[in-house]
Amino acid sequence: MLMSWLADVRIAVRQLWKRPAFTLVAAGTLALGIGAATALFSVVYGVLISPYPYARPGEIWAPGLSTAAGAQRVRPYRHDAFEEMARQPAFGDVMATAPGSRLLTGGFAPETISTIAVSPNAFRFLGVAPVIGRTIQPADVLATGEARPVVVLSFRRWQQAFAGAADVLGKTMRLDDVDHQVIGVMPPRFGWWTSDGVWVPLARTDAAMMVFPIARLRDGATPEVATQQWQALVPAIVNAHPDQYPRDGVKGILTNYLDVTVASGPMQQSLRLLFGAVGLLLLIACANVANLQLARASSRTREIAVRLSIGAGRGQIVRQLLTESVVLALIGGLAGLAFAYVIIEVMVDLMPTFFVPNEARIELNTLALAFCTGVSVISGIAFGLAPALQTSRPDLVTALKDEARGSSGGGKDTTRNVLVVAEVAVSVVLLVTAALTVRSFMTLQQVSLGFEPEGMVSVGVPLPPRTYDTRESRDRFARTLVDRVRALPQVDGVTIGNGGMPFGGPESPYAIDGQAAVDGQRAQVHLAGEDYWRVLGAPIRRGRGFTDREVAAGESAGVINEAFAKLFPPGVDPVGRRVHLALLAAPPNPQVLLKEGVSPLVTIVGVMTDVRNEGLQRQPRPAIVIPYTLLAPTGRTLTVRTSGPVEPLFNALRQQALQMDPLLPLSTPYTGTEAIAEQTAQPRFTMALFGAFGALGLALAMAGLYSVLSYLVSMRRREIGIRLALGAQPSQIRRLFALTGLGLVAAGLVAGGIGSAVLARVLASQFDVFGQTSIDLLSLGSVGILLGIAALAACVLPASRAAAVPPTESMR
Amino acid sequence: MLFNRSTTPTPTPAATTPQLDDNGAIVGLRDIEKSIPQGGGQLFLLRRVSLDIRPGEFVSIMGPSGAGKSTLLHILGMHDASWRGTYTLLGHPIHALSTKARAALQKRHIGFVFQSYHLLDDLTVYENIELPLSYRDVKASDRQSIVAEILDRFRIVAKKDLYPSQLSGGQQQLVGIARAVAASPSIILADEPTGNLHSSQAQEIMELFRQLNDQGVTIVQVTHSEENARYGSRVIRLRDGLLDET
Repeated sequence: MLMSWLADVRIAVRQLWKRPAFTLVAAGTLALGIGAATALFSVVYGVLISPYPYARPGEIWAPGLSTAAGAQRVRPYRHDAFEEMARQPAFGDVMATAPGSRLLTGGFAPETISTIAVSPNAFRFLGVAPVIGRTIQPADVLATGEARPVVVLSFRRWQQAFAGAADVLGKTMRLDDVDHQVIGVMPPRFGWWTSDGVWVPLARTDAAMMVFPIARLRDGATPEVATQQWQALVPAIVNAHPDQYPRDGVKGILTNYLDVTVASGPMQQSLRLLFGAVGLLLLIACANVANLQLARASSRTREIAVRLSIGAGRGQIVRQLLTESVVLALIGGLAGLAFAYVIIEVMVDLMPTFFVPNEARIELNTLALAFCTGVSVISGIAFGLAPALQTSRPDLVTALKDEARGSSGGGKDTTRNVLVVAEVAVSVVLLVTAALTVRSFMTLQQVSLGFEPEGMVSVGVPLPPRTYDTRESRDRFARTLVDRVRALPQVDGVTIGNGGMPFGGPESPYAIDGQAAVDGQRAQVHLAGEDYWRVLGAPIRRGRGFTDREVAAGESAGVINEAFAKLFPPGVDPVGRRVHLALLAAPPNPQVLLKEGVSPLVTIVGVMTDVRNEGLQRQPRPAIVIPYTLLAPTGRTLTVRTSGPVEPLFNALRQQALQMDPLLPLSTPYTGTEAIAEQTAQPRFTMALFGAFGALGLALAMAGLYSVLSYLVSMRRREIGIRLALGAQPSQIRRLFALTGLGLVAAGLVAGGIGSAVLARVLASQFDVFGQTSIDLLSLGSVGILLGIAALAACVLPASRAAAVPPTESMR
Repeated sequence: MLFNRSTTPTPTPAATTPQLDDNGAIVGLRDIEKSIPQGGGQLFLLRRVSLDIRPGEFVSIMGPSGAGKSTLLHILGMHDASWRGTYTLLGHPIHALSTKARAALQKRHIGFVFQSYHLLDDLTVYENIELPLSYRDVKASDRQSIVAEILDRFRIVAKKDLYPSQLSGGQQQLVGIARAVAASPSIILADEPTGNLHSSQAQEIMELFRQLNDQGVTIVQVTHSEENARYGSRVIRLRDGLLDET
C-alpha cells in the first residue's frame, strides 16, 4: 500500500514537473490562499489563542464587580481587600499588581518608565523564570512591610539601558530618586503590564494602595464555589470604603483572565472576520484550481481510459488524481509560507499595538507550519475531489477511439459553470464585506470631530513627584511654561492639562446641584487653561470660557459640553448652576494634590460644543472643563495651536520645558492629526487588510473567470468556425460568448448578494465592529460592475481571437 | 526491422487455466445487440451476433468501416456495458453481473492492445508494463521480477527507462503488447494493432501475436488487412452489424 502510494507521489511529481505552466499558475494561486490563511492563523494564534507565556493562563481568574450600570471585570481594590481575598479558602494563590511609572535618572537620560509593583509571589504565580539572575522573592519585602529597592528588568529595558550586558546584576537604576539594585532580567516574551519597563516589590505599608488582584483556585475548588466565596466577601469590602466602590446592587464576579485581556474586543472581532475572509479567499483559490484541473482533465480522458482498460479500479484512479492534487497543494503551501511571512510582516506593522497584549508573538511557528500543511492537504482534496470523481469515469469506447477529440462532455461544463458561479458568489461576499470596511472607515473620516486637529501640537510633561512635591511648585511650573510657550512665534494659544486634548483624562462621579447623585454616573474632567477652546478650535455655545483670573486663582468654575448640558432638566439653563465633583472632594491617589479649601461645587460658566472625547466611533461623553490650578496631578499635557507649520514647534516646546528643568522626562511631541490617526488605527487596520484580501479575491476570481471562460471558448473554436462559415458576423460571435459569461456572473452576483445579506444578518454582532451592519446596493453594484468587466474581457477577448481565425483553420 | 526472427521474443502461455462453458468455449455470445438512438428511432450497430471462441483460437474480425467490429471488441473487452443478449466469459455470465464484478473479471482475464498503442506518455517503458500489475495488487517484488522477465522476453531491456515519445511506432506497439500480456490474461483483444505501423513493423507484430497464440494465448483481433487475418485461425466478418462467419 505504502509502495503504491509512493509510486503515485512519484508519478504526480513527474506530471507536475512536465507541465510547468499549469503547475506554476495552480500552485501560485494556491499559495495566495494558503499563505493568507496561514498568516491569519499565526496572528490569531499569537494574539487570541496563546497570547501569554504564563503558566496555565486559562486557570487565572480576575475578581470583578458587577452593578446595574455594567461589569468591571478587572478593577483595583485596596491592598487590605487584596489580603482578605487571599484568605478565601477557594483561592489557592492570589497575586497583586500596582501599575505605575517612575522617573529614571542617575546615569541615564531622564525618562519616565513603567514601574510595575508586584506582590512577592507574583513571579512564582506567573510561572516564568528569568533569563538572568532571580525574580522578586518574599524576602524582598521586609518584616516592616517596606519593599527592598530591587528591580527586575524587562528584556527590552535590559537591551536599551544596559545594551544587554551580561554583568547587569548588581548595577543600579535610580527610580524617583531612589537607587534600585538590578536583580534579574526577564525573557523577551514576558510582558506583565509592561514590555519595556521594570518590576519592583509591592510594599505592604499602605493598606489604601489600590492594586489589581488575580487568583488561581485551590486544588479541587470550582469557579462556582470561588465565585460564591468572593460574592460573600464583596459586601464587607464595599461597606468598609463605600467611596471607592460602586454601591447599588454590587455583586462579585469571577472572570477567566483569558477572556478579559486577550486583545481588545474590536481586534478580536476584526481578526475573526479576517480569518473568515481568508477562508473565502482560499475557497476562491480552490475553485480556480478545481476549474484548471477540470480543464486539464479533458486532455487526460484518454490516459484515464487507458488506465481503466488495463485494469485500474475507479478508486485507484481517484487516489492517483487526488495524490496529484495534494502534491500540487503542498507545493502551493510551501510557496504560501513565503507569502505568509510577508503578510505577517505587513500585518504586524499595521496592527495597532495597544489592541494587542504585550506578550503576543506573531510568528510562523511549528503550529503554523502544521496548520499550513493541514490546510494544503485539505485544499488538495477539496479542489481535487470533484475533478477526480468526474475524470475517473470516462466513456471508455469514445475515449479510446483514435479520433477522440478529448472534448469535454456536458456534465463537465455544468460543473465548471457551477464552479464559476460559486467563485463569483464567494468573491461577492468577500468584496461586499471589504466595501463595508471601506465605507465604515470613510464614515469615520467624515465624522464631525467638534474640534480642529490641524495646527495642534501636544507634548507630555510629567513632573517628578519628589521634585515637584507641592501643588504650588507644580502650578508655578505650569504657569511659567505656558507663558514661555505663548511668547514663541506663530503660537496662537497654549493650554496645559491632564489629557483631554480631547481624548482621555480622569473621570469623576458628579451630582447636579439640587439633584441626588446617581450611583455609577461619571463625567470626564478636563483640566485646562484659559486658551483651551482657542487651542482646540472648539467654540463656546453659551456663556463663556475661563478668565485669566479664574485660572490664576484656581476658582471653582467649569465649562460643560453639550452632552453634559442635556443631563440638566429640560428648560433649565446650566450656566450659573453648580455641579458637585467627587474628584474635588477626594483626589484619586496621594500623588494628585488638591488646592487647599477648594469647593467641590463647581459653578458652570459656559457650555462648549460637543467634542469626540471617547474616540471617533462613540458619541461624546458628558465632560466638564475646570481650571488646571484646582488639581495638580504629576502627569501634564501641554497643547499649542499654531497658524504656522507644526514641525518647528516640536523642538521649541521641548527646549522651553528643558530650559526650565533639564531633568524633565518629556514625551515625544505629537500633532492633533496624529492623535486622530491613532484613533482610526483599528478601523484602518481592518480596512487595509479586508481591502487587500478583497482585492486579492477579486483578482483571483477575475483570473479564474477569464481562464475558465476562455477555455470554454477555445473548446468551441470549431463551432465558431462553422458559425462563421455559415455567415455569422464576428460581432455576433462576441455577443454570443459575452452573454454566456455575463449570465454566469449575474448568477454569481445574485447568489453572492443573497449570501452577503444572510451573512450580514447572521454575523450582525460581528459586523458591529465596522459601525454598520447592513450591505448596500452601492457596494453590491460596484462589485457587480467590476466582475462584469472581468467577465466581458474573459469572454470577448478569446471569442474575438477565435472569430479572427479563418473558418477553414478553426474547423480543422 | 523491429527485431530479427532469431531474436523474436518467446511469450509464455496464459497462466490461468480457463474455465470453459458447456460448448467448450472461452467466450460465448448469444444474440448480442447494440443500438443507439437516432432520429426518434434506433440505429443498430450490432444485430443478433452469436459466436463462440475456443481456447487457443486466433480470431480475426473483419469488415468494412462502420460494420461494428470495434463495437464488438469493446463489448468483449467490457468497455461497453449497454447492449442486449448474453455474454459468457470463462463460464461467467457477464450480462448478469454487476459493474464491479465485470471489472474484476476484466482485470483478471483480458489484455487489450490498441491501434494507437495508448501508452501513458508520462510513464517509462518499465512503468507502462508494470501498471497493470500494480492495478492487480501484485506485490512490488513480484512485479519487479515479472516486468524484468517480460522486458527480457520482448528484448526491450535497454528501452526500459525511455518514455513512449522516445520510441518508434513499432517499438511502442511492442511495449503495448508487453503491457497486455504482463498480467497473464486469458484472452488478448487487439484493435487494429498494426493500423499505425508500416508493413515490415506490422509483420513483426503479427509474428509476435502468432507466437503468443502458439503458446496457447487466445487472441481476438480487429483488422482490415487480409494479410494480417491470415495469421489467425478463424475470420469473422461483420457487415452492417450482422455476423457473416467464414
